[in-house]
Amino acid sequence: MNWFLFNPGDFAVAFLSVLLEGIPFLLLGALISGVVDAFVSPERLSRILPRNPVAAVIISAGLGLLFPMCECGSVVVIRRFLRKGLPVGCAVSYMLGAPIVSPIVALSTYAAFRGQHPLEMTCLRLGLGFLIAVIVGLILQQIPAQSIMQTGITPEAAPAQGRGGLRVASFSEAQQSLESSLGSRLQKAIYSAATDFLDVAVFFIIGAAITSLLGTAVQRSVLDPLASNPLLAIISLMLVAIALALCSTTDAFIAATSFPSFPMTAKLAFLVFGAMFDLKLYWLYGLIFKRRVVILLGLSLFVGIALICWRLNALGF
Amino acid sequence: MTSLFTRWIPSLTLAVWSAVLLGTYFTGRLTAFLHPSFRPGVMIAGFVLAAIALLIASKPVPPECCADATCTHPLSRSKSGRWLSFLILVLPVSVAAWLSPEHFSKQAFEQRGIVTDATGLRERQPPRATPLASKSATSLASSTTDSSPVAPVLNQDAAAVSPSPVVSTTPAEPVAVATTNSSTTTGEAAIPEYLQKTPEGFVIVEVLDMLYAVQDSQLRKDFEGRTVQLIAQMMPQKAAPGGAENRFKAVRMFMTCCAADARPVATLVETSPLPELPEMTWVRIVGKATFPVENGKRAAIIQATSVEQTKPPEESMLF
Repeated sequence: MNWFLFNPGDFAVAFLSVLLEGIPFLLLGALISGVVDAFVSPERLSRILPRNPVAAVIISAGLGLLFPMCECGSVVVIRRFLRKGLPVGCAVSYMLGAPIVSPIVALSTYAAFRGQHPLEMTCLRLGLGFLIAVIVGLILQQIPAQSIMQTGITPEAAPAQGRGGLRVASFSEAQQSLESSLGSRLQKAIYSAATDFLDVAVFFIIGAAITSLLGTAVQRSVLDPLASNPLLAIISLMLVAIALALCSTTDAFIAATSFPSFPMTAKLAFLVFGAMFDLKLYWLYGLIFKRRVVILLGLSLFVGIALICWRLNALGF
Repeated sequence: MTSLFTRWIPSLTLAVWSAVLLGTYFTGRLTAFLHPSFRPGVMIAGFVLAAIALLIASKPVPPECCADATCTHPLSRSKSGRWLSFLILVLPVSVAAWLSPEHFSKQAFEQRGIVTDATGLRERQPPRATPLASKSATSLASSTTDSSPVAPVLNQDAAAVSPSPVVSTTPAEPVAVATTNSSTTTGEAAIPEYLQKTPEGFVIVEVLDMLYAVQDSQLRKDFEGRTVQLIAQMMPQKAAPGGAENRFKAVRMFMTCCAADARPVATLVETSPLPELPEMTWVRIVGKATFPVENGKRAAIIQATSVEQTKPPEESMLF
């Protein structure tokens, strides 16, 4: 096979370099997620959200800038917030937006795309991620929560008592909150970060192995027919994103290094879609939403992002 | 879950990762894998992971999360999943860190396609700052240039400080051109001050400098006809029909972020007879920098006077 020549030494060099480059960002993301998980209560979040439901969805999509979360972490947090009465639209826009609209992702994307128009790629990624999170949030806001969410996730009490639709914390909750010391919260944050880190690192290692195999064993010219057709390139990288299930804090390093002949819009589709939907998230979203909703969400995101990126390609990006 | 899964396996996994990160950093092996700007992050992450590993070893992770059926850690919900994730987390990275060479093989160079034209690299390059700018600005304030010249890569130390070897597309600070510089032992015209020299007076160049000089007239003017020294790996050059048969490629890997994105770059070296050294040997080439037009295209060729085997440089990759 001329197109596939495996050399263990070359594979090891590429594999180790991707891991060494990405792990500090993965750890940073996990640590910040842990802090948010331990210190940011739904009540605190409610103080930030406006009363207007549309404005609340828009603000929620950008909350990752203040409370950054990787996609796995955001599902955990959102699940808790939904039970506390956060409106579905806000929850979904935060869930989809936070893994992309975040300072860590901006930093890692900028760093990974050094020399490949890093500023444009970072702005497009964050901008497109934000836009899609808002659109999906606004659409789901119109649908009754009970019809899309799993049993047990719907709010314990009717929302809309507090700002942004959150109910006000009960006395017992406030007391509980006062009782938990800073030390125990910090410990919780670190444990949460460590568990997230170990769990996500597994997927990152698998992704790094696949990307190193592509980068060292597969003759690059084999991928050229896919890369030369913009729509095909976009679709194929989105499918790769589903399979790799990478964390949004490190996926830019894979995108920037693995597909040199692919257009930037295909890499953008990989980065935006991959942070919102993949095999791992299909399973995680199922913990919140009914399975048919998850499938519909995945298909809508796939088609929507593919079309937007295709259009961007036609516009010369 | 037993303490094996809540204490010892997580802390051991984190300790292994910490050891890999700190080991590659403090042994200096990291230089073969990462761009300098990413290296401090590896060291910090190594220490943070070590601290978390110690914390978990002293106080296990509360098991409530992953004992819950709704836990969002898919691999932590069962014993087999935890063993599997432990093996995935520890084995590949340990083996790779232990056995990985510090450079790519010839096969990887060929697989990635050797770049001999700087136009293919330009989009990966931000504008280059002028090295020695402050020094030059005072001593050579009156110097002017008619283009947007760039300074060469010089060596890896210089590149680490000013890591953007590139043809500038916007007029930047003018490159200082020395007018009072001492002449070289080879009797050539004065060497511009910004160029680094060997004790023998040879101009130190990197492969990228030769490629960028093809594109940039000012840089080309500074190099052309001078005796230069280049350290690179040797690869054979297949002669074109009717072309010169006494040439080989001097190649280096050029990385943007990490070794995985590295691309081989090469300049031609002409010498007779061709050195009888194995392919991919590190060689020190001394010769005259020339930029002839061949088949309607300008090329960078070093007319070598000596090619000798040498040790690999401290930084095996260009950046």
